[in-house]
Amino acid sequence: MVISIGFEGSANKLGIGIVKDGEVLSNCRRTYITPPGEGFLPRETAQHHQNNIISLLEETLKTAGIQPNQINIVCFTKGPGIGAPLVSVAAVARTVAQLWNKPLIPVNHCIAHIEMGRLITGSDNPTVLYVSGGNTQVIAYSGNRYRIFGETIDIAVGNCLDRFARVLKLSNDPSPGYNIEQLAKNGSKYHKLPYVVKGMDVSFSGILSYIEEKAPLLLSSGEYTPEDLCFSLQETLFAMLIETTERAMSHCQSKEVLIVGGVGCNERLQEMMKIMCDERGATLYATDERFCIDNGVMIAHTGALMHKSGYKAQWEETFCTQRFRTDEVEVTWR
Amino acid sequence: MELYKQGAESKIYSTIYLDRKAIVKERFSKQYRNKLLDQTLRKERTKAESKAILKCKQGGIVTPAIYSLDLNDCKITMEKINGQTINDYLINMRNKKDDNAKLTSILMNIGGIVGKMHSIGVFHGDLTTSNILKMEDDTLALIDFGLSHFNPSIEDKAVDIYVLERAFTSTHSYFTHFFAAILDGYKNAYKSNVQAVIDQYQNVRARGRKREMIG
Ligand SMILES: Nc1ncnc2c1ncn2[C@@H]1O[C@H](COP(=O)(O)OP(=O)(O)OP(=O)(O)O)[C@@H](O)[C@H]1O
Ligand SMILES: [Mg+2]
Repeated sequence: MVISIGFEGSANKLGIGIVKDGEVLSNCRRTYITPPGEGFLPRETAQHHQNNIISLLEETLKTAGIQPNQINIVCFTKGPGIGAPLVSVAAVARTVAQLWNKPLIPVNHCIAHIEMGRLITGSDNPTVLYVSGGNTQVIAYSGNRYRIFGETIDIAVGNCLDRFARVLKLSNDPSPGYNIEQLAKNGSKYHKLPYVVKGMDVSFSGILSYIEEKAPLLLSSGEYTPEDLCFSLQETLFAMLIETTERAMSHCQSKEVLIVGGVGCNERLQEMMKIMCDERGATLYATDERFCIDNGVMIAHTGALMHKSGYKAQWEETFCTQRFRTDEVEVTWR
Repeated sequence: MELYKQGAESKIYSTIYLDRKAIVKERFSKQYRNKLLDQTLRKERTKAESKAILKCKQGGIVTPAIYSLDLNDCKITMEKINGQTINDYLINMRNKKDDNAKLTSILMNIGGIVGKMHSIGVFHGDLTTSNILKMEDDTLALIDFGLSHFNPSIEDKAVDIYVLERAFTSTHSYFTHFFAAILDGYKNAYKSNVQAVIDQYQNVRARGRKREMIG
């Protein structure tokens, strides 16, 4: 039996979670929310994490009903992510690991999303669509690695949505993407936007600059409502994601899709993916915001998988790195 | 008509066209996407595909002969190529690792056909191992040109090679070290300033490696 605690803070969410052999004991999170029209900056985000991490740790232990001495391993996000918040959280993980005298396990954030998705949904060998504020990747497992099949060649889909939310001055609470989704539900008039798929790769930056430039006039002329533009943006971006996922499935002859990452809890994205899956006799696996959005349990769970497969980190390996690609990690537990 | 294969964007049916074995590739309407977007994409791609198949054929690259084109329903009736995809071929080859010389020569030919396609000014846009067919006599044919266009830039050409590399390494990781043979074949076939394309391909690869990734 392994009880594992995981620390995550690679972006604006601070999460700590405890898992016991795949059973979630606690999953606590605090989000740094900026005023409408503003994105989060590294220094302020790190400050938020530093201010909250001790009380969040207490809350996590209490919710799980676990004493530090019952914990077997301490896991933290090594990367990818934003430097300052990553380091702030890792420093605390290192400290408690030494204090409690437990092994410290550095975890790849993207892989953690995938492993958590597999655990919660029970999917076996899915084609993975990983969509968040910082990442957009289509991933398939082969030869002991999660291979990146397709990805964005510029900004991530979540970043594109967030930045458009800022143009519309939407609230960042609970997240800009969530508020775009709500508006889009009431949109109906489709405005044609650039659609950029290159093989299995996608590009979003051209779409963003196009809609940023056009939005003021389209809105002030009364031709389109903010709802219509949110709707048009979502329909276009998501169609690109579904298309590249389907290409990867067709190429790998895969019959399962798993959506992970923060944008993965968007219900319209899930609905579109479901229709695509039904059309080709495949199964869709998705999770809700508890596990889609960055969290500590996914780090705890993945660290436990690594630990059980015999992985031991050298103390020198327990640093952080902003760039840490999904396909760099050798998967020893599958 | 009998469903022969389901690709990512189309259904492929077996049929007979004037006594010849043929397939109908139908870019059917995708229910998940907006109607307007759906219609535009299906039409554009059906058009792009038929144009590129013709241009390649004129340039001496084996592609299926086009028998008829229906732009309203986004259907192309074309020759059925008797062969297997390189994807299937490589999966089968995995268990017969003895025949390396044969494998290398086929990979060189793949590079060769891609180089030739670029030389005549065609960008494929979805160059995976599923979109190259190998016939019984090892002749290679190119298919699936929906994302293609003419007069590619150096960047476009580099992207084609990069897409092929990724399809190769992600599905056939056991043959990763053989990808060099494809590049060799490409260099032999692509006559004008091949170094510029190879350099750009290295840049495109590095871009992927270096991209900022934030959780
Ligand atoms: N002319 C042809 N002759 C024989 N087989 C063909 C032909 N065209 C297509 N096929 C088969 O059908 C499959 C799908 O065709 P194609 O790649 O054109 O469709 P698609 O929907 O665009 O595919 P993708 O999944 O690559 O997007 C091919 O991989 C091949 O096996
Ligand atoms: Mg194809």
